Amino acid sequence: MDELLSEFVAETQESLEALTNVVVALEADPSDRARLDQLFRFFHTVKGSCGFLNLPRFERLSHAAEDVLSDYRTGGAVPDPATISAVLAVMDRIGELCVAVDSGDSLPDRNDEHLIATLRHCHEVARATREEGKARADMSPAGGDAASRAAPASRTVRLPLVLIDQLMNGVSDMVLARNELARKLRAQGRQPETDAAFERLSACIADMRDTISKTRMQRVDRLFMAIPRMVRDLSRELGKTIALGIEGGDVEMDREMVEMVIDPLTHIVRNSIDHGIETPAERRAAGKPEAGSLRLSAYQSGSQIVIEVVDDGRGIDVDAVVAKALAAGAVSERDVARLSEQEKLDLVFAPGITTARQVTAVSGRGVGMDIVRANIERIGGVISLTSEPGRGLAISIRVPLTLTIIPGLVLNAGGLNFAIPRSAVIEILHDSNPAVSVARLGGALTATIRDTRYSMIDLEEVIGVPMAQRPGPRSLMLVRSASGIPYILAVSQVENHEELVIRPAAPVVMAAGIYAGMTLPDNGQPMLLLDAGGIAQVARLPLVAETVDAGAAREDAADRRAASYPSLRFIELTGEERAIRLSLVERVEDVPVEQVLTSGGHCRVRIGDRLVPSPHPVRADQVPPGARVVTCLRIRDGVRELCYPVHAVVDISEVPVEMDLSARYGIVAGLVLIDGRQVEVVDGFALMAAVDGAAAEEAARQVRCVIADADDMWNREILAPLLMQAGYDVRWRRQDEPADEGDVLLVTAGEQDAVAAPDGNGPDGEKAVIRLRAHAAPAGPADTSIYRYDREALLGALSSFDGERRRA
Amino acid sequence: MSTLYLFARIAGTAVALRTDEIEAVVRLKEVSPVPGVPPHVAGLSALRSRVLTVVDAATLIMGAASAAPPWPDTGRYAVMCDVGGHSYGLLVDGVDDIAAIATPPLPLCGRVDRAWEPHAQGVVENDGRSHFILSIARLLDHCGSAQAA
Repeated sequence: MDELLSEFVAETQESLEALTNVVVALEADPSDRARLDQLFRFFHTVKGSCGFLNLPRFERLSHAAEDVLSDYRTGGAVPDPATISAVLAVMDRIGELCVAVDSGDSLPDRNDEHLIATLRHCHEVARATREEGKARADMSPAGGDAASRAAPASRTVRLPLVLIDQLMNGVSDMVLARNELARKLRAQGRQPETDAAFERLSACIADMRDTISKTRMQRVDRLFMAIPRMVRDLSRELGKTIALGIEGGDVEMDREMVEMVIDPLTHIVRNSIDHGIETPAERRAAGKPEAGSLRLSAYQSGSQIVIEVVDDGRGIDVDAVVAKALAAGAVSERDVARLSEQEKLDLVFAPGITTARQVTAVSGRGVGMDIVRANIERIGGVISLTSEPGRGLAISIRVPLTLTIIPGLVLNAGGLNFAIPRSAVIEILHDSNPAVSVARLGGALTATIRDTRYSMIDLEEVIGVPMAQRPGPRSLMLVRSASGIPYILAVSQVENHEELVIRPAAPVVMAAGIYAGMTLPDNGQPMLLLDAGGIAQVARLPLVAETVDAGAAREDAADRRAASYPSLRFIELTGEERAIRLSLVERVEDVPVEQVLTSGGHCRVRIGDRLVPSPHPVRADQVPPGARVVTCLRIRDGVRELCYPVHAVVDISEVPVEMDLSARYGIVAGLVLIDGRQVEVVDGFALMAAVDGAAAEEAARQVRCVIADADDMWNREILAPLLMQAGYDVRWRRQDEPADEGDVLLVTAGEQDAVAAPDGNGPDGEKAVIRLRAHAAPAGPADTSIYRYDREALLGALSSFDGERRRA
Repeated sequence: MSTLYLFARIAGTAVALRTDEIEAVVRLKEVSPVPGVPPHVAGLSALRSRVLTVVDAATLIMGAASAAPPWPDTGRYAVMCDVGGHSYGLLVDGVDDIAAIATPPLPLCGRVDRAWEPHAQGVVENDGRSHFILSIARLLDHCGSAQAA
């Protein structure tokens, strides 16, 4: 019985989570029968199961909701916002009850009846209103996008996380055993047969590790799950209208990571609605659409997930932020004078100046942003802002794909090896570098790099081990402290770069304050992960801001790195070895061959329920016989994406920026040498441009077509699709809306409402007009109209306006 | 009802550890030192894919004065256990026996060394010899607080 009960609770909670968005979407489009049915089925299921489990309160609540919804289903009427709020309240109560049942607590009973009464009342009122035939106002179309993806359809099983962790450990054991075996085999010299068998085993283990790692991944959907409901509740509370857009839900990230990002993301979204987006009246006054737009998106970029929150609100008032920072003493007047705009903006992250009340009063923004940043940075992420005052704010969060596997640097100090997260290190220099000078003053070390002074500390001194005598220069690492101010950590040597599986260290080790965890690299020697922030604290480094110069140093470091960039090497289906910039590759995926389709000369790949363009098809003779999947690179330029089928992925290598350009042709930008081999570098621009020529053209269109008569069937069904296909933005003319510069008006000649505006291509601001006629022959010599099925003449006329507009 | 004990020696003293706290007894060939932590943390050691935090029981109980001897080539015995989700290896001098003892723990008698007083929870007899009963969880708890002090 207990098992049944806990399964019921788990299932109900899961459905509730998925359904919240359905309700919000239903509110946006109350006539959506599919969502109404989905909701009805939920209550019906709950009612059925809890009758069986003897949970009377669940039963009463779900019964009431089912009743009301059933009325809407059979009556064909559409629910109103008040009823939906009441349904949401019932769902919340069911959620609370689930928690209570799960923990064995009891929840006060008396409110249930109140909720049910409210629901019935709302329903009655709505019915009465409906019968009076009163028209209801349309709600803004919000959240539709999110909810359409909310319905889970795939077959799944529920597994305890412990089991997955055990599997993961088992696989790690296998990898270690394999490495040991590899060492022993190498020691015995070459034995082709054994080696071949070992290679096979190796490949199997690698595959298995990948698969198991995937079980830790979760769609970002879950991160966005709570957003539509929150946006809805907040916007009602604050009297704002918000159009929410969510995309990129099929990107995957580590389960734990999702948990860690939810809070900061919620905070940011709340800020955007509360302080960023203005009230409808303010927006009207500012000449913006009444409904504020809030867009959340997620995509993968290399080994990071980028989550962006973009609103079109009032942005951040930089001066107010600076004033606040000055008042709080976080910066001095002198510092401010040297800060760039972006660095001033970043002051919202400065600790101490952004306690909720103070900043809300002044700048109306930045509530607790220091905490948001601290949380993001704790998981190795980076947060950045782009604000356009009056036009909106874009916040982008970059976090690593997983918490447990991070790119790290292995370093040596006093004869011991340590690791440090790659993300904590800004730059590495040798102390023999002429750009560096180290000074010792009263025991304190200071390093000056390119005119910027930094606190410096020897790692050996922090950990209390003697400095190992070894030839060669020491390495100085410029690392980030917890407060964001960098300092120099000196070590004997930085050895190499490795992907590290991080696990928590025992409390007694963590208590030292300088470690962030431990890791077991492939050589089987446990290693500790250093905590750069902790070291600065333990060493009691005075971290005073020389913000401007630190910023400059960061840029320099970026310049330096730009001499080469990481790229992904792969083998084409046609056999050539090529490389593509890694940052363009969103991920690598095996796609079933039958999902690669060609139609109308364009090749597309079906991913989930979308079609993604592909630069070339997969011919049957290009895949090994019997192969069912083809490896695809998912490439994204920030806006468009495409799917690039390849034979195999080779490796990731650093590719020099300079290449032999004489080899340029088609999508190949040039040749580079990698490990002494010639590798063709794929030109990301040419690739994107080649795949979607039409789309590229579309971006360049500057003319908007306004069709005069929206009721005409021909205009609607034939003309509009033709124009849209040609890449034009099509609008229907409204009486109250003044024509914008750049509009072309299309009217059908002989219409009664013949337009007063004369024909013309008005550089003088006059609207351009194209007249269409229904007959093939012109009505007379003065007739400049175009026969409506003369596609070439029509598009020709439009593109001449387009060209003019662009010249103007 | 009898309790199963592991009989071992720590700093030359006979001790009894309840087996339900123990996962295994292993011989550790080497440890990676951890600088910056109290002296009773001997280091880290990998056991297959697990990483043990190795705690020297003798140093923990007797204090830093009884400095750990150099690591012998043959390795040292460690009692492996899991406390608070972390794996530990508790270094002991040696392991003698595992036996089920039916009699309940006896109270401490005589003047117990100050070092042992906080840890010994009682006495059990095995093979005619007395052993201090130690709780690994409490011992390792102490390992954290000893550092805080």
